[in-house]
Amino acid sequence: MNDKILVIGHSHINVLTPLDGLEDSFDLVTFPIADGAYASRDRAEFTAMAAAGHASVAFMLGGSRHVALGMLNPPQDPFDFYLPEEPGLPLNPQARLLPVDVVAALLKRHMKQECDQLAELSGIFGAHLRLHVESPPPCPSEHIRQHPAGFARMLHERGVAPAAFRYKLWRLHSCVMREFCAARDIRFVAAPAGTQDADGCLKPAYLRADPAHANAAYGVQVVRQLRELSGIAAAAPRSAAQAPSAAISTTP
Amino acid sequence: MTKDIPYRDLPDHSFWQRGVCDAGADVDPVVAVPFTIGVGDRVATAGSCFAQHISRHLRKVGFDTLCTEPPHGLLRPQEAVAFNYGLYTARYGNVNTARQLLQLFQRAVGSFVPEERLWADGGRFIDPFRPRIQPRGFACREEFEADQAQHFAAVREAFETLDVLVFTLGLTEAWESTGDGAVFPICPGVAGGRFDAQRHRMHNFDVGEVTDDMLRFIDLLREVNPAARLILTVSPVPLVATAFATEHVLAATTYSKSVLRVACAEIARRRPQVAYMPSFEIITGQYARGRYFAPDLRSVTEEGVGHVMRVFFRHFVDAAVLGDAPQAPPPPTPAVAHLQQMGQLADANCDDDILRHALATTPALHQVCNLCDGEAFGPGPHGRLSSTGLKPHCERCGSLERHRVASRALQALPRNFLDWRRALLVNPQRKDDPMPFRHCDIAQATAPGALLRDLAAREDGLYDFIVLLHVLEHQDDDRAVFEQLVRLLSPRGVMQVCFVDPHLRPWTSIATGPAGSLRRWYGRDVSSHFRCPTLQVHVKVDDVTDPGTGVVMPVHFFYGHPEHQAALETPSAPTQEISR
Repeated sequence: MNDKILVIGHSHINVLTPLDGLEDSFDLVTFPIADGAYASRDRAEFTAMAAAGHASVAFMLGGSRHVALGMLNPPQDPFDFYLPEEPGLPLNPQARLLPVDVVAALLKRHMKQECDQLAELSGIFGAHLRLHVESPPPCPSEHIRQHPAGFARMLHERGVAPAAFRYKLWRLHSCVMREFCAARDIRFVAAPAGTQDADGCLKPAYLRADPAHANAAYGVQVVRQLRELSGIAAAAPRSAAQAPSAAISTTP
Repeated sequence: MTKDIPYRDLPDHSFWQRGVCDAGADVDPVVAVPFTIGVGDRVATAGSCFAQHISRHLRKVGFDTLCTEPPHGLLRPQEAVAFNYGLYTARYGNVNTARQLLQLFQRAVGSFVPEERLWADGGRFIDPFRPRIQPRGFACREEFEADQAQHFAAVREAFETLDVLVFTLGLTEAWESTGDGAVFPICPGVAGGRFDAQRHRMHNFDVGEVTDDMLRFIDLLREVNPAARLILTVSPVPLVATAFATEHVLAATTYSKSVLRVACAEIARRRPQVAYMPSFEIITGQYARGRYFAPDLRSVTEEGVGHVMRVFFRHFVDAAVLGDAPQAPPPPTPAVAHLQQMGQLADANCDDDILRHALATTPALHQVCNLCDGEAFGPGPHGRLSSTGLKPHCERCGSLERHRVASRALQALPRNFLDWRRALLVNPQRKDDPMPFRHCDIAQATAPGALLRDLAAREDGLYDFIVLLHVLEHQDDDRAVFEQLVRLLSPRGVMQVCFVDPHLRPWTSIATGPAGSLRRWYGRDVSSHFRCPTLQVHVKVDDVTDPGTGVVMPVHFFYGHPEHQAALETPSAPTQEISR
């Protein structure tokens, strides 16, 4: 038994990788990239990790399907939907209304791969306290326009989707994942309090030069959450928000 | 000695012995129809559950049924079905009675607002008039209201733009509101809401009421759409239950179907351009000896539906319509192909009749490959067959329908139209196929963005002919690639493009594939999608027949100067030759 937290994730693990001193209480595991996408790892590797006796295992898998589906305006037939918890959020008047259940079904299909992976890993780490970290809230529209990364050409042509739509899609994405986790006794770790602006987007302090990912300052908040939930004493990272950007910068 | 009686000169169908007993299994009770469905006619469908069979079979043979509330392009077919998109022209669900159809029209135009217009049920909201349309109801009141407004707009559009409405009358028994007479498709409390004997009552419509409701509906419909034509059918599906304890369900069914059948005759007699299609008779007729009913003696088998549709197509549909029907489904991804194959196996019985009919009415095709003269064909990728039911893979050269169609389109152009041209072959799938050009360059889409970069590095107006076969579908920025290709065309240049059949969809949609890769399904908006008017690019589409399978596929020619239109219209252009 050790007192470390094992974090397994795709690109959103970037919020942790720049943090100095993290190795004292965290082991980070990501996936190799092949042909522009994350490849899988051998199940035996995870089985071996499960035997290492971590205090908890935190997953940061996927978390990008809402970006792929809704960050930019589609070329045809834009859609929008009501979020039942916040039905007062604006609707795109140019968009066709889809029932939220239809959008959820769409998201579930696109999230299947990450959900299957999460289910498999959850089984391997069944004896651990298992956590799943919610993907970060969407970025403000202007930030996406300023830092479009690989989306530049498409963004120029199609434009950023309305912030309210992106926020709703992120919420729905999280709702799907939250239900998935609940069914498998995985604790869902919601985005840290105080990291969102009035539109539900990431506050400037948590943005990085990227349209879809949060920065290391956001990672500090996540570290605090994971320590608390895992019952591990806080030890502030030696350098946080000023750390250089991580190597993994693409959406999985 | 022959008796001089009125029956003497009547045709065979007038006599039970000759019209039924001697007609074998393929009895055809349609004698004359007041109109037929022609090319371009927009056909709407509505009615009881049997109407779903009609709607499904129309689509299955590629019939361009009107759909004003279609599934979103991102949804897969099974997802669309789960949410009841595409079952009918709009998302109204089953319309079981004439009164319900009349009230659907009135609700859509705002002339009737039922008192009981939604049911709140455990935090969800049910539409009483289509209670099963949304599997768990609507998630919030706002969603319910907005969806209903959108739905009513789609219903209005359907009624205003349809050319032919195929409506299946299903029931006479219905539950209605005691307050305002609003008729529900299902008894309140069954799929939402709560039954209240003070507020809900059973009503069994008689012939006069059904007739009057339909006549009122037809009159209202023709106020907004004077040329609308109707084909009425009576569902052969018996009542699942009668609400009258003093009636046996068999007797109640007989009453209900009798009323509807008589009403249909009355309606067709009293309004022009209204036809009756005897699907009830085909399924329940004595000649069938009950074989068109499933073991539950209620559900209609696919064989029975196939018989109905054969008769329907024979009498109500111009041959040219079926000949023009799009035939080539988009090539599926491996995962989708697997599901389709499984579905095809499961549906084998359903398809059998239609397929046999299609093949029986299609001239026998001598399969030959125009690329290698091969005559042996095998199944395509993932074991698929072509849409004509023939094996598409040439065993000698490995070509598929699209390769042969693209080549045939080129072969049809005059040699002197091509032999001086400098050509660019973009991502050629078969590099050894003969090309009739003076010179050929090749551009490859080796990695995301690579093709765009390659094209951008080439000089303006370098090529007189550009050939693409299922390439743009996979480009992240397909418009930018298209614009580069247009830039590369010389003033006399022509670009030949084969898309995965864009006739099948009204508009272009996008799907995300493995590892975030993009995949487009082009629709009939392909010209506007590529901004051809802005780019001053003209487009001509030839429907070309694959000599290997008989499948007809469109080939697009894009060009800058209108004079090319005449040059491309050669006498030998291999347009559609085989009608299904």
